[in-house]
Amino acid sequence: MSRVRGLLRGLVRAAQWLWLLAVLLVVWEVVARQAESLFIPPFSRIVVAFVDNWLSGDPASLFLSDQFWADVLPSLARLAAGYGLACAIGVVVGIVLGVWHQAGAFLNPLIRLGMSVPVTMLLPIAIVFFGITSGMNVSLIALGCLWPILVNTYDGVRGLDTVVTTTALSMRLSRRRYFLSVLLPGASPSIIAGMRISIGIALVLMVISELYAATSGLGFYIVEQQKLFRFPELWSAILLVALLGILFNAAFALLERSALRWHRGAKAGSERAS
Amino acid sequence: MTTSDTEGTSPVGATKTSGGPGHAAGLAEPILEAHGVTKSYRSRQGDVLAVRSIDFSVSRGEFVSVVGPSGCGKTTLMMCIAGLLPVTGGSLTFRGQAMTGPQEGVAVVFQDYSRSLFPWLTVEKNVALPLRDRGIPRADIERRVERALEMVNLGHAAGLYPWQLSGGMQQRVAIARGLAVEPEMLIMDEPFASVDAQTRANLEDLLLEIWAETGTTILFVTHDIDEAVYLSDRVVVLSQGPSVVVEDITVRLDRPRHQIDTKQVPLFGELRAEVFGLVMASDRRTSLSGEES
Amino acid sequence: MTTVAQPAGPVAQARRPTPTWVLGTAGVVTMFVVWDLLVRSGAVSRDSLPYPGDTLARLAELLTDPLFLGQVVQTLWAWVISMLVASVVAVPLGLALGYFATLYRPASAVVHAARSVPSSAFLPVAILLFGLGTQMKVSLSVYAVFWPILLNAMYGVRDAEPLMLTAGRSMGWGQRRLLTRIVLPSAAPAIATGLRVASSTALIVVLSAELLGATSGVGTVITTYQEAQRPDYVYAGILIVGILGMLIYYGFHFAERLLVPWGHAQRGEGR
Repeated sequence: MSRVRGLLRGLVRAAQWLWLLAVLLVVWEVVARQAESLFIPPFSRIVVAFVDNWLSGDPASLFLSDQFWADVLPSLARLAAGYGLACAIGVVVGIVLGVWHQAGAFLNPLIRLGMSVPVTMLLPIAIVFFGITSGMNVSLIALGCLWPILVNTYDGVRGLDTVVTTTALSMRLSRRRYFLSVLLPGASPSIIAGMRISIGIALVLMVISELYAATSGLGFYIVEQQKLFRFPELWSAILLVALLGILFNAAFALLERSALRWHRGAKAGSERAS
Repeated sequence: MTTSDTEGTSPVGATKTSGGPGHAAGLAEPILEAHGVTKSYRSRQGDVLAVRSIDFSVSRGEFVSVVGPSGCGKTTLMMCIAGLLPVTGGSLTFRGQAMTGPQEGVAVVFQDYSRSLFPWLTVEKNVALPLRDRGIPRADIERRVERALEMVNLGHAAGLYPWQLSGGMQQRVAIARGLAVEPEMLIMDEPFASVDAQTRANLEDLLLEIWAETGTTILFVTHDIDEAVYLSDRVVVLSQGPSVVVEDITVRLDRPRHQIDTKQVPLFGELRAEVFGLVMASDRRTSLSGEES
Repeated sequence: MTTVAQPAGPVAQARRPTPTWVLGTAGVVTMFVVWDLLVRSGAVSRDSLPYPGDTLARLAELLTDPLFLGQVVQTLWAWVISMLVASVVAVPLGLALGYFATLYRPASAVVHAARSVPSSAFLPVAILLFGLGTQMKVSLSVYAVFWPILLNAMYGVRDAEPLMLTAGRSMGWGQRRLLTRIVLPSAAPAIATGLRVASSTALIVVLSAELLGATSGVGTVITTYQEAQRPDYVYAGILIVGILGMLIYYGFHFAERLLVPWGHAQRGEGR
């Protein structure tokens, strides 16, 4: 009995959140059917195309179609490589600059400039260096994702409470212990925030760089479908990108909830005290 | 998720603390000596003198308080003694050796417990942190952490996070962290300034018990004159900044002390009045100087 | 003076540190020297990386070239229009959605779904719908910045301190006074943050659209130079765009401090 009630309550909550989205999708459906626009097909046709394109495979390959493996996998590999590079470099350099003040001041203007250059403007340069290869996409993704991670890591290290650092100093911790038990956890909320911002940027740059020049991948697929005037297929790729974005965001929300539980707890605690 | 406060677990009357180890003062060797300690800060307006030629010493096992008007450079002096700030002039020796940075055998308890305990570590791990990577066997670390937490009556809170505890409990964790390293000297910077009066009285008595049990030297910085007189063997009174030692008063009150009885002894009132007068006088004399950072 | 953690090290020496601007200038100079040496040594082909001196000369040339400046104006025009359109619609809508509790949840579900689509993915469709002109750039840019502005406005209203609202009610203020005296000032910092983030995003989207198809603007010029194999002009153009981006970012930052000085607690959120 209570299980039914729990299920019901869950449904009601889901409805409270999602009804407007559903209404808007229905409006889209109706308007698109009336208008019979070639470029913007009804949502139902996009969903059909989505299933046909990406989810028509064997159970053995997780129902993912050959098309998925051929076009989505290269994109995801580039995204992972570029984002991974940015995380590794950004965190290491951010920590070094945060701890070593002179180096931070030395590189500060260059970092400000690097951040300000809209990274897509580097596409013409990247293509000269790498040609139409995955290296071009990866380097662009890495460069675009680098700045938020680097700057957030730096801010996280510099923003460590002086009471925290003084306390650590008074304990005469070893460098290793200081790094592992004080510096890294203390800066982690800021570092993870930077990573969360960057995963969104990575997705955007993945698509843009593949639109600009690629021989495979989701962006490439979108361009191909446009040339063939197959718009439901084109939209199904857009829908896939959106779902990836939602998935990444959910993953980070989960990470923050588990790894940064102390952060929320401590914040609530200090608000209660003041 | 705050666990209920259990501050009043050790009524003072029930304890059998004998006279504090510090009563041998005068005969015991000095553990800490300050000679002409001077500290100035660089600021945009030029150098600001915070501490001017401080002389005093602390004997092994003594309980010494440092009091002074707010903004007199108490915290600065404490940071110098803890080796956390370099002195600009004069000399500081700990166990006969000149100080260069934080010393082995010294533990510090800060006023702001909510920030000096690391929120990402549990109580247990906070207390264990200063013991790690020092070649102490894991079993020993566990035993010492357990003992330190027992001493502050927080054995049950080992697995909780600091932010799940009340203010008084958090400060007890900070004290336990200091005790876990089994220090020769415990420096405390206004440790009870941010807790309510009831909790404060309980923490004072807990501290006296721990002091009697461990024999650790305690250097206690406070702006509360009652607290200084109540706890200490000696009270060092600082002037308004740039601070100098105005007076070094020996407190000859019997131990164990008692929150009500001790404070009704006429001597307590006299000492209190004396210290109060000194603090007020120095405060009036130089009330133009700036705030302590 | 704050103490800085240098774990287990000796007490920091009290010597006067080198001013940061000296180090920063040294950093910029070093970059140019390294850049020059890279090209001079032949480690990087001159076709992909021009001499820094040449690049700076082209930069000066471009900045005095009325044709180039005309293209900059084209880019900025699309940027201004998209910022205006997006904020005029999204700010009031966001305030309303944040204010009415029943709409807040369903609206945020829509926003989170919609902003998960990178606007650039719409480029092929937008080109077909709007052509290759300013309209296409603006439409993509509006889509990209609409959601962050809306979301920040919604959050801003929700962040109004309940205690302040209670205080307002205790003074007998009606709905309108509560709105203008408490809710809007509380929401202003978040709105400002949303606009600042949006201003950078809008520039990137406009430039990307120019790079990928549009027929006017700085992005188009840079593509043309790249096709003409003039890397010196390409680098100069990118430097100019970088400086433009910096000006916009710091302009908004400055305006934010000036207009909503009470909001620095919330600063740094958003996106």
